[in-house]
Amino acid sequence: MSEKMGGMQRFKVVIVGGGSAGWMTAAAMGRFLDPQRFSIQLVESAQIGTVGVGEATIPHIRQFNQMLGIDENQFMQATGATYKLGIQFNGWGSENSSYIHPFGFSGEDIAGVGFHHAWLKAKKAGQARDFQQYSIACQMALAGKFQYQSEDETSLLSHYSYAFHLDATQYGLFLKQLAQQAGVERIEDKITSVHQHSSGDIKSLVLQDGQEINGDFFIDCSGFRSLLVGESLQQPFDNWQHWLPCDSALALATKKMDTIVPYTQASAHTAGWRWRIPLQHRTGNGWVYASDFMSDSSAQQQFSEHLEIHADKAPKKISFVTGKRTNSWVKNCVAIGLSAGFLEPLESTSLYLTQIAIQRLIELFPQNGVTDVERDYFNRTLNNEYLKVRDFLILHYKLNQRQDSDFWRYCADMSIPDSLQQQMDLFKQHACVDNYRQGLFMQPSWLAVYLGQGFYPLTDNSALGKLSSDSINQQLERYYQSVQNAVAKMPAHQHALDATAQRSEQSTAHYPAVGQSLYGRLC
Amino acid sequence: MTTKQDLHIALIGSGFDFYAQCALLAAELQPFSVRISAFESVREQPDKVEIVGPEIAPFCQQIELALKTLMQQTKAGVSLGMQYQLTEKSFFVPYADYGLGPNEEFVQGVVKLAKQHQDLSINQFNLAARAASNARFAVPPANRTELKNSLKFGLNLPTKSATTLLKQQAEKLGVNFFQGEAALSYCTSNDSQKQLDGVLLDGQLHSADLYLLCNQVNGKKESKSTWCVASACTTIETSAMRPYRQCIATELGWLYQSLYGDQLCYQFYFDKSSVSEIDAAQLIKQHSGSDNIRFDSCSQTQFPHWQNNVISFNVRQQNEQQQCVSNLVWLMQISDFLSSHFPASPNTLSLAACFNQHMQNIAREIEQYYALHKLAEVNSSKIRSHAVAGLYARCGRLPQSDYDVVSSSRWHALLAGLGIQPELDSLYLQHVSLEQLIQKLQHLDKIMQGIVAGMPDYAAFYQQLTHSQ
Repeated sequence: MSEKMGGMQRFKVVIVGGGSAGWMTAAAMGRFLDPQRFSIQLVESAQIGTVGVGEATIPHIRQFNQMLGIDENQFMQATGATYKLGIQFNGWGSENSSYIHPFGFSGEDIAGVGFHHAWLKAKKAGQARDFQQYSIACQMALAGKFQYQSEDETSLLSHYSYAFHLDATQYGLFLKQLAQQAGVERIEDKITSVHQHSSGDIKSLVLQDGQEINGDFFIDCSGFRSLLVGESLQQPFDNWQHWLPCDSALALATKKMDTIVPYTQASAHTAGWRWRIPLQHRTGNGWVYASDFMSDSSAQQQFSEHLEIHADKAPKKISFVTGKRTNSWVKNCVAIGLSAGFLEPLESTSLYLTQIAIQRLIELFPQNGVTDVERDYFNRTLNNEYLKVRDFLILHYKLNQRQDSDFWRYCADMSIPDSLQQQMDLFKQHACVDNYRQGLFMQPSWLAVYLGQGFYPLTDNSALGKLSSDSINQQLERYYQSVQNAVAKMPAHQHALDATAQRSEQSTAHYPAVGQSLYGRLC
Repeated sequence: MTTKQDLHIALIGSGFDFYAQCALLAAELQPFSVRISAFESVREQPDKVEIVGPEIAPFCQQIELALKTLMQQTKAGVSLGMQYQLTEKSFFVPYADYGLGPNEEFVQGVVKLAKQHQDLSINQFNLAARAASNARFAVPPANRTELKNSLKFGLNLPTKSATTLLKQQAEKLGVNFFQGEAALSYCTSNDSQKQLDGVLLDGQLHSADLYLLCNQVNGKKESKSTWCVASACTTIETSAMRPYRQCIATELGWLYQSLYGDQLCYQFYFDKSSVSEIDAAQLIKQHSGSDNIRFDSCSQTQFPHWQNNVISFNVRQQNEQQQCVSNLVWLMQISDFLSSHFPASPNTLSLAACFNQHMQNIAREIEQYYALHKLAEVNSSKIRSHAVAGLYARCGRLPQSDYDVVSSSRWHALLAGLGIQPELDSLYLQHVSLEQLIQKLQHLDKIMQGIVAGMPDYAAFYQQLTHSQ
């Protein structure tokens, strides 16, 4: 199985699929696996399309790029990327509501008490502005401004982070180049069959041209099909459709926006939501819907009506089932990306879930054959990541206050996972968020959605009983003013993009170090 | 929304942990409208030693007590970690981080190199371990922030003086103390659950919104345990003072040694069904030379539990687990939870369920460490069946921790001390050659050598500390 190189047996790693997940994996493996000891092959077929829509990310992508030694300015130029400070949710609370889930904090503690407690008290007295008015990331986004965050943790300018909107196909090509430079061998063909050892381990892939690709370890990046882990290894799929009922999407790129905004838009419609992702060279648009509540033809018609820019092409239809393989790593094969599971892109978590699986795999990589130890640990941690994202996505649907369609009424009435119910109960009763360290989305994210969608605690928890209303209002107003002043001095997003393009040509780095948090600094 | 003012919290108990909890809660809940009453059962504080880890520094900061004051006034002993003197091996487990400053793959780098150089020990690159082996110690100056995590230390505190100081601090922070034998008065709520109605003291019922029972099992009788601890202290010469604790293997079991002031204290935990008190006393006497041996019963750790309006944490009795993770860690977790989830209405299921879940997870982390600590004398095949040791042995990784109640450096040191070497090297270090690693580590070795050489002997440090009051 292993092949010889200079008298040494090389451990053979075979990656199946060449979409974003496949090339992200290949680039990372190429960087961290010693070519003297490992051979890496990636099998892809141009005949099999990738999902290939515009992709919105979260700040962790910067960590991944840095890990691969990628220059951020060059990456932005290669992928047509724009900066992203959060996601604007339109119509998710009531039909006319709008809020931003920012990559950053809202306000700061007042006399040792969480800012949101102060805000709730002021709101009760009719004295508070919208919650997002106290978030620098939200205000930057709405003003169309951008500048890098400060590394000085005492500064208001450290209260946010940023990610990118990028062209996923271009990102794949960028990584493909990187991977091939690192020695990853690309094989262009379709896989016709998969051979297994008697142990159940995957032995080889048979290609359409008859070639047999042997491997010691396989990475399944075959997308929704889940060719190895799903089809060959028969790993069950945990279906979460009853909690996340959307199962279809239409995607279409249109010309670039006149003004490129530094945020993703996710606007609810009667049976789902639509996205808008601004890139430098085009705009990604999507229409996500539940086919039980909206027909394909109706979706197509409404999508085209809602496109603010005329499109010549027909949208691409994507069908999906929300959920995940019970285990991502089975036998000598690990599924990464859509082959491991699918969660709709409402919170831009798709590349994050791919990234975290790759990073975990590198930490645990079975350099001399797989044992239960690394496989079990990988599955446990990845499972936790998916569950955390799942609950947070369900929250958006559950908290809707729309009464305009059966879809939203279903979502408001549906039962939810116990873990989410406990989290919501805690906020309802105590205005608290139960923070965790393993998994995505911390208190600032939960608060943004709770308060953005009008989910308020039953009780004022008396936390600020010692502070007078006047004092609270003064501090809120002072913070709001400092946010406004800071944002007013910032350059426009387009200016920042132009500066990035310039730096890319001059090969000067000049971007902040990568943080470990979605919010610029740790919670 | 309804508003509720001045939440009233009542603590009932006695001893070091009780006063520590009073001070912590008062400090942590300062920003809130909270009234704290403490009902102390007045008991003669035993002449014991309280072992606390590096959590003592943030604890002191939280309760606004200078660490130096605590050390001076109690004549506390410093502990940079635990020296294991076992039958077939001896090794040191420091509290402090490896290397100088943050470096995620540092330990993996040393471990990789150690595979080629058998004489290389990871503790060569731990400043605290080096200081301990040279019997030197210094508190890192405030301007040397890079040394803060490289010289983390715990304390051995004499119960009597520490308790007095903590009570004073709690009073300063606004805790209202009541003395006497308090009785708990229960009532039954609508949902047939027993609720604490108040604390009966001198015929008067004191009601609160939330009760913390710091030394009593909530309404239940303590289960009888056959475990107990024999302890004795002896005076030693200043020159023999060492800034670490010891765990020494004997023919009967492990003997723990800790130092405060010039008192070297010995503790031996044993099961009365297999070791007699006479044998235990003999063992202690053999090592300490002291005839003044005290016996206390032990209980299994019962992690904090919230039911209805009562949080109970049975901390009165000692057990061996506290040699690994002190009760202070629990107390800080409780107060941290309460301040970050400040209760609007303490008697709700959602908050209690959340609290209990957290405490259960913390207990799991502590239990895992303690279990590995107890496996130190066991053969390596059994060690590898331990979940953390198994993962480390294979990949050199530790499971992600939610709470870090045991630092990764302690895990690494214990695992290395037990002779576990990871099978696989870190792929993140793929591009770092052994020569580069050697060069970096030699450079670090020199820096650490210089820092340790500049530290005073621990005995001199102690003399200076206690004479500069």
